[in-house]
Amino acid sequence: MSEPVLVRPAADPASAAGRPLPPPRARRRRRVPLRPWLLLAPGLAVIGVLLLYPLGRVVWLSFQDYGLRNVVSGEPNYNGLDNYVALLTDPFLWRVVLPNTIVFAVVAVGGTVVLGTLVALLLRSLGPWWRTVVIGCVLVAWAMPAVTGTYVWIWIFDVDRGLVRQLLQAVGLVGPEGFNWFTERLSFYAIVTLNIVHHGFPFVAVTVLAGLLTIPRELTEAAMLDGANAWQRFWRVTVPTIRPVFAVVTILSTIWDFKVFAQVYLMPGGGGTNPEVFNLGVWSYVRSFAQQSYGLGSAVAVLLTLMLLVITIGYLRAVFRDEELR
Amino acid sequence: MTAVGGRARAGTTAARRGTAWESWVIGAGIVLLVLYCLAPFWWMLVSSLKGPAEIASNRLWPEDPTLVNYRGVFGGQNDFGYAVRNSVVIAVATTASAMVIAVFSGYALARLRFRGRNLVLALVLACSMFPGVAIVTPLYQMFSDWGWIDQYQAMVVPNISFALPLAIFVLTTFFREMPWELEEAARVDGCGPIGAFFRVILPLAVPGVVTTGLLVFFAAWNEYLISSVVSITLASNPVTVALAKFAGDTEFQQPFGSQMAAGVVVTVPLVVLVLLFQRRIVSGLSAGGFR
Repeated sequence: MSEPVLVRPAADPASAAGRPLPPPRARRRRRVPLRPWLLLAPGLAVIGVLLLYPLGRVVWLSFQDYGLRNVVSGEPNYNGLDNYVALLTDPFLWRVVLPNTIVFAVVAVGGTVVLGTLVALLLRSLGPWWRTVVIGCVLVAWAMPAVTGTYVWIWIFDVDRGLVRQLLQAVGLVGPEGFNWFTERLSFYAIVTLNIVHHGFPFVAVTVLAGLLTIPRELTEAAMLDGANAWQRFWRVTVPTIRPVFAVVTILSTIWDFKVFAQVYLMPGGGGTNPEVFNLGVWSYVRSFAQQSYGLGSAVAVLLTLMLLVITIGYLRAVFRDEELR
Repeated sequence: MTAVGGRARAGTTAARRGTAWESWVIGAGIVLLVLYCLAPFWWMLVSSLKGPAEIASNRLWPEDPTLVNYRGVFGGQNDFGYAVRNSVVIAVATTASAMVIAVFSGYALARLRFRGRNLVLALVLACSMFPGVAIVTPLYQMFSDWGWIDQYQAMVVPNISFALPLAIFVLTTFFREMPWELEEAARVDGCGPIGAFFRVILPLAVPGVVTTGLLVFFAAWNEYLISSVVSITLASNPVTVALAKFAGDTEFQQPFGSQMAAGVVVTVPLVVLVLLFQRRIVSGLSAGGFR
């Protein structure tokens, strides 16, 4: 039970998927090609009916001026590319929504990966007992549901009675009038970043730790004999050896941070009253469900999906490095 | 001699100072890390135990602990007990169905070799990036047509489809590590392929299935976006939607006391599960990327 290796290296997606895979009787199984597809059928059917078909409908909706009237009547109302023209020529997209989405994702991914890597390095230097204790704490951060965590951060930064306001007022950094963190884009997203990094770094930490534990000790020792200090060892030995692990955690974090929803939507103003803080997901949702402009909302959703698709292709290339896609 | 001895001593002190400095950094790192990890949880717990008179104080523990917030959560218009029940039903149904489907797919992808295997795996993985917001409108329309609005299945079924891609992927990585020679041995001893799977392989796969199941359960428990659209009334609201609907005394004052108390109710089961299954969850997290 006290085995120090907490993560089986084989459980890492990059190394497991990147490895050639010869099951012992692989060739003989090719005679029955029906069986794998029968086994896959339920899974593929669910994914097809509930992910791919609705995605097709969103694309179809995005070519319509689809409002409440159409919801009731069920009649389509095509308007060609109007939604996309309106969307792409809207300064609001370029000035507010895209920067909110992209700059936030870059900062949050950077914070998540850097903190997660530091924590992984810290965990590696600990003995088994301390490692278990600290991982326990890290996982508590991960286990906090997004909705709950968001309300805790809102409460901590509350304008009137929040902990931060009281602390800052006690040291004289904020006057008795207080400070509203939620109206300004920058401070709003600083809180979202704090929330997202808190929720996201545990995944990076345990995954990078799993990668670190696969690095042969001789490699590090050889570098030490050559006189490399800790900084050089990290950049010249650790990073190149487990580059695929870093690729996977970075890309997955990017995908998640692009589609952040509840952590923005549930914040004060994020639900519609303060458009300055919208990201693509929230904008699409508000357009569709608050303003009943389903066509435009769908066009925004398609834009988000396309951006994620590009990142996903990078992800697939990182996971299936050597194996060809047949 | 003295010079050599002095140098040697200086060397050891320097080395000792080096390690002392290092362990000081590690100690400080641990303290900061544990603070960052646990502070929000601690503040939620403490705030939930403070009465209305005390909630605005920044004391790090409740001076006069009270359950008044918890009574507010489970009584009156909030009636959070329903939400907990709904979430348990939805998350358990999601986990059970998703795992059955994912075990079949994972077995096929890890064990059988066929044309298109990697393509299917790539497609499945690609589907895990799906933004919920992209399909929430069509799902709402479909479920309206089917009369599913405000029904459990309107949340269970999308939860399954969101959980499946990563569940299949994680199970596939687990299944690849299984000792498949044992299946061969069972076949030699006269088991059919199905018998060999159920008698030999499935018992060995339990750790991987439990890990994946926990991750699916967590994802279903935390789902907010789809539920916020397809679940209207308290009768079907899961905890996330119910929590977001808590109303304050005035429009601009959030009911932080009851939100924190409900947050504790929602979070504690997950924290207990995480601590009980720490090793499993760590291996599952690094295998597939759940968040």
